[in-house]
Amino acid sequence: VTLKVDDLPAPTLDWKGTHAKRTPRPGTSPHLARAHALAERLEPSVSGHDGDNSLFKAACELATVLHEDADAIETVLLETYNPRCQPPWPGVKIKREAERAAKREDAPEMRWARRHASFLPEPAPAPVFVTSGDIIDWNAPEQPIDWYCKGLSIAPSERKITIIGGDPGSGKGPLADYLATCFALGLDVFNAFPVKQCNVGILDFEGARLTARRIRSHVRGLGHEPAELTGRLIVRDTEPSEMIEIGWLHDWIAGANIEVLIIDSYMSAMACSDADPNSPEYAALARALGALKIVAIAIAHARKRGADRRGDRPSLGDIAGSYALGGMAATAIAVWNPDDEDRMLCRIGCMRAPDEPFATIDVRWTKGGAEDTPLWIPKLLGTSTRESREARADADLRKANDITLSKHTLKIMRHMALNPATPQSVNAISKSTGIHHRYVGLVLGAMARAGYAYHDADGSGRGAGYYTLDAEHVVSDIMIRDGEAMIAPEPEAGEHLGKFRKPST
Amino acid sequence: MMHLTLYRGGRAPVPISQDDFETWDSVADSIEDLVSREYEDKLDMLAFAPHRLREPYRNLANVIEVTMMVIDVDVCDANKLARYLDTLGIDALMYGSPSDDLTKSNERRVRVVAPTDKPIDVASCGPCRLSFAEALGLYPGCGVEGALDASRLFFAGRLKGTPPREVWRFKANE
Repeated sequence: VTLKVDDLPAPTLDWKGTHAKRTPRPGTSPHLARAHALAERLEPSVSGHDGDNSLFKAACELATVLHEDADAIETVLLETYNPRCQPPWPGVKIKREAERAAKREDAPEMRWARRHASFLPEPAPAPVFVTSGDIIDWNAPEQPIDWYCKGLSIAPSERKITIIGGDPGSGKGPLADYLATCFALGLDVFNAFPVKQCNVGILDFEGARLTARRIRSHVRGLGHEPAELTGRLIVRDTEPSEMIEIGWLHDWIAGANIEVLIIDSYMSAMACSDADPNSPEYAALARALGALKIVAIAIAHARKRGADRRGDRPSLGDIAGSYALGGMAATAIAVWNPDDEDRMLCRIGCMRAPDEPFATIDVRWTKGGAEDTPLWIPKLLGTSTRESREARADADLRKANDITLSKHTLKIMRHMALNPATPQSVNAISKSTGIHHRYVGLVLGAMARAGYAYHDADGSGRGAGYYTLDAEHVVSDIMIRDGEAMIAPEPEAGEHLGKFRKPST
Repeated sequence: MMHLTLYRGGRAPVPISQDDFETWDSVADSIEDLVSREYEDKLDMLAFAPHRLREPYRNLANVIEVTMMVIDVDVCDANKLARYLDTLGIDALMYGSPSDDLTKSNERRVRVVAPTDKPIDVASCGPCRLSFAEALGLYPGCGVEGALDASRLFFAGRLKGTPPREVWRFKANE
């Protein structure tokens, strides 16, 4: 690997006449002049307008000229930049920001990132491995999937693993421990999904004490004794600072006849490696587990999601290291809490399955037994499909009585008033306003019934569900009473309801 | 093909040897060997140049091509330079020049030698060296601009009584 002469860019710095001075760069010279000129053009930092950030940005800009010379950056900031700031920064702050910027600049990667390193030699091409591989015999009888728990799509995979992923505190760990108990004792999961009884191993990188406590609780809650797990469920308290030695793992699994192995959690198991979660190296452990050809279940954390997506089902893309680890999942199970207020309600969904994905399952962690030793077991509330969830939402909505939707009405009206003559669909309005389409439908339905909007079922040729606002009328409130939406009565004189006024044209 | 032209002392324009090298490792070994030598007088000190000469006489007009990248740095932080070289991920060798002062950590005098994919023509030698210097985080005033022309030679070794010169070798990323 050598330097490519043709790709070396022309020098960008002014090298002329500098040799004689033998100045160990920045300090004086053209750099400082350039830096001062730059500092005059930089946006000054103004108190109350993200001034801190502006100052640091300015220091970083100066560092592109003065590089890691913190003193020079500080000088330029003090002499040229600071007088323009409102109010000027104290010297200590300037010094600190200059040092921060210099330190940031000092990292060679920063320079490399900025510069076009086109002259860098191309990395050596990755070796191409071609393996012969076994040829599938189409005449051979089909091999059925060896389900260990068909209800949750869990089966041993050739070269892949099962992932249980979810938000922190969503119940991934308890679910995995419960599954381990069910596998070890041969009990139906949630009293509904049969499992294949087998020996289970858990490598717990996050403290086995809690795991053991949970498992004892599950076992007793299921009417068994923890002693029955002896030889069937082996929990190892594994140090997160140790990498799993695959040779040892092979021996252990073979020796203990383990068919289901749970890694709690994958992230903790990989903590001692420097592998970036999105690098292929991050999936190295998953590859090794996949090669065991047993049911390897890794618990994976989901990335933090925005407040607007909290309570939503996490996708495989939300699982940390999804680019590397997600690809290794034969089965991926999502666990989340649909209701932030009710942490015991747990929803289990299928992100990926070797066969047909299982329907979303709602379970509730229920306390049983004596108060001092609560026994937590999950109780199946039911499986849910999209249709059943929507039907439930409808029912919930209809249960609501005397709900005033004035805020939604105003928002919808404002949106529709922008294009009063244009038929607009419920979905489009829902997307634009951020209001649930069912509410939009209710509001517009009530308006249409009252003659304040036109419902164009199919007359416009644009399909059903299009509404046009009647420009003559203005609606201030929609009420739902006994499950039916209707226009609220006009407010009394002086009563302020934030009535929507049609904008004057 | 890499080529090293060897001179004895800075004032002798006639090379004492001109050798081709097949591999970078053999070049690096040779330079490392030169660096390890001790001399009584600087006039006896060997110097190398990566150029190929038309006639066995050192002047710019005689240089056909420069077969390697060499820069002479008079002022630098050697550790930082080493870090940059490491980041580059190329084969390279850095050694302390005969006048290098180990006690001044921020003002080290070093030379960086690196193989190139093809010879550098005489006219491009200066810009290429400056460009390489910039790539290594060096700045005007560091001394690179003092040894740009293709006929330049580079001393290697040390005077008697001075400590051994340091040598850093960088392996290319596989």
